[in-house]
Amino acid sequence: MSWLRPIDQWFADQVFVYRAKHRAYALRLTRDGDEAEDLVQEAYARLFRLSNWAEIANPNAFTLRIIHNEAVERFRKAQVVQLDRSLSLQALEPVDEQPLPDRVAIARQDLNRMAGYLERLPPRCREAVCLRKIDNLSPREVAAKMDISVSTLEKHLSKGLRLLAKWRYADGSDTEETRVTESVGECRKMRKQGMK
Amino acid sequence: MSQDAKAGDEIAEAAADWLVRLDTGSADPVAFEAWRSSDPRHASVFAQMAATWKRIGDLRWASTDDDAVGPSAMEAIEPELPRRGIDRRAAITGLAASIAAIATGAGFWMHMRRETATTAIGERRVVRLPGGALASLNTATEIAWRMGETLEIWIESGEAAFRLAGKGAVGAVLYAATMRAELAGGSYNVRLFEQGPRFAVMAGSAAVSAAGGFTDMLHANEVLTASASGFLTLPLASEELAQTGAWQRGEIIFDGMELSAALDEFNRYLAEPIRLGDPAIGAIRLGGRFRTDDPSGFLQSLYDGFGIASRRSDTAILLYQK
Repeated sequence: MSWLRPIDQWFADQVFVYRAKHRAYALRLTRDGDEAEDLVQEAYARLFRLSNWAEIANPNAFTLRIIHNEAVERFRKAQVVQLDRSLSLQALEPVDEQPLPDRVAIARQDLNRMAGYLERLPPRCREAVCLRKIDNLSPREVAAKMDISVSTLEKHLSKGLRLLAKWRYADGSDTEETRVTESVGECRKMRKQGMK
Repeated sequence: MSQDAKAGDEIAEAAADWLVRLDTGSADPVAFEAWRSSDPRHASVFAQMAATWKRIGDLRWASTDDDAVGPSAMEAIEPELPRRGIDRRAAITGLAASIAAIATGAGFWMHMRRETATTAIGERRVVRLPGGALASLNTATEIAWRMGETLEIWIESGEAAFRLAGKGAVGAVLYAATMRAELAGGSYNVRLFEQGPRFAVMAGSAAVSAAGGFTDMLHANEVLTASASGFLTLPLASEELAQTGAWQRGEIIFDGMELSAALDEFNRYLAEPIRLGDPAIGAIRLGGRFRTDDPSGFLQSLYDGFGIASRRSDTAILLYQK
């Protein structure tokens, strides 16, 4: 797949595997699903603006840091400033020294989920994706086998891929929370007690 | 749905279309590059799509059981039956039968169990495989195996040494990238480099076949190397032989290699890598034997021997000439 550059591979292996953590963290900062989503996407886009990405020792921590900084920036620019959010932004500093989550275990869970998602695809989509990706038939062979044109096959594949990417991305956001600094507990306590 | 989310959906749709049409060959690569480079979000979303696309293909040989890999004690010898630290895997095969079953939603998967063992960066462990084979895993390594009529072993990443003895291990097959080796009883070391596997026979013999129609019979003290121009069998240098023993003891030996190359080797074991703060010192040649679990001895020797000092940056340990 010559259209994949080293940065794409790096992103997939070092960053995107931890997307559930990134989303969970963004959600805790923003407490808003859409905004959290946009924060993560903005952070990912920023990674693709880097020229020295290969030198980042801990891409996961680095990504959390960007998410945090972006959240702070947005908070400062916001027309209506929510005071309690300022508190959570301070408390939810990403922990740079945290041990890396087990990439292999995450990838394995991911694979199991993927098997489940495949079964949820519409039948023709599923057939196209399975023949191309699992049976490893060439696009032309798949089209012939399904008795459709290559351009129709492209539509099935594209739709299938989009659905899989969407489910895959949406899932797992509730599995593990990002470890945060000690002060969070304190902060929660304060909020409960109405000490905003 | 917010404006941002809607825009995100549109990018996702475009990214999926590009990827699929690149795959089928109907996309114009120039137009694609123009789209991708016009916005970092395009590049990012495309990379996310590509990661998903690749993951679907991983199902070809991979698992369905969910069993997380737990941490394991260094050097602990683990039994061959699956337990903590080793995970059971059931692979689906890419056969038409299973595809038809998936396509009809019958949920029929062909189960062919594959076990795996992994090590994190800086970790080593020894795993007992079925039939009396022992596998030593070096840092950042993943292997898989399956016991059918014969033992099959896959090196997915990193480096491992194998000691095969006993009847059960005879005829074991080792796969590393495009290489396939049928092993007699003996002792072997295999490491996956970017350009392909490096496979050393310390004792025993191996019938090897590899991409490009390469076949050869390797004997003790021979090594198979992969390069851009293909595979080649060479005599095993005594330094490399020493190295295969050293890593299993948690040691690394430098035999006059340049500092830049030595760092590449050492960094395999380090979560926080050592880098050259000054490229000029990269050509210094050094020798010595160091512990891989503790770079401080190495750093001290650089200071004592060459006046090379180190300081911590955010992401690495930087070396510079004092």
